[in-house]
Amino acid sequence: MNLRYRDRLFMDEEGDELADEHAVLGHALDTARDLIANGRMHSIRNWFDCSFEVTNEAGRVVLIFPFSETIDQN
Amino acid sequence: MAGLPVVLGIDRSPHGYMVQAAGEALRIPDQDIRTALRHSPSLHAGLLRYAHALMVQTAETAYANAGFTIEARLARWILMTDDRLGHDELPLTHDFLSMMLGVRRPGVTIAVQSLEGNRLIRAKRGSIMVLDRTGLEEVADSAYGASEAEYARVMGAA
Repeated sequence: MNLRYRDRLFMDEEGDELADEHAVLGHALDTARDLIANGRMHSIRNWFDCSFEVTNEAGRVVLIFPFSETIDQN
Repeated sequence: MAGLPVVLGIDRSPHGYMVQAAGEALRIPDQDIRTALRHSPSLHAGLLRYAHALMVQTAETAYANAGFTIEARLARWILMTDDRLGHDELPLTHDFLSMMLGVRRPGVTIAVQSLEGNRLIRAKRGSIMVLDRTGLEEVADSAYGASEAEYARVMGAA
């Protein structure tokens, strides 16, 4: 789950093992919501400028999840 | 039973203990330490001072988590780990830091890269090396130092 903030890409070197697309989307949503609510950081002024770029084991991007989507999803 | 609950006369605790890094330790059966505590007021007093220091540290952790940025809390945790291990390389994964700081892992990853970008640490996969303690103390601000000073005061350590 790499994270893009404006023109920077923060590589996630540890990763998570998730079963399927549904699990990936759920994890991205939970994580983004938690960071927006609790992740006060100097480095990130606005979490809504962030997106997850989720890759599979081969390194191919399988999901781009803008944090703004946390507002639309219930 | 393990740890301070034994000293405090408690027979059960809802918490367990986890050793976070390799090292050497001494251990003693709980019945033996209870007997030793009855016979040695100085041992008892020393361990009660430690209990006080640990309570101060616990409160300082709550203070850090409530009021400080992830970068400051990460800097504090790295300093605390460095205090205890003093190794060149501290065995800290982002996953573990995520648990100890109560932050989702991407927050840890960003904070690690921020400290590294300011040349305060060097991060490798699974470990962190301190390059600039003074710089880390500046980032940690008042989240770090109070409990360490109290530990030194009551335990007589430098």
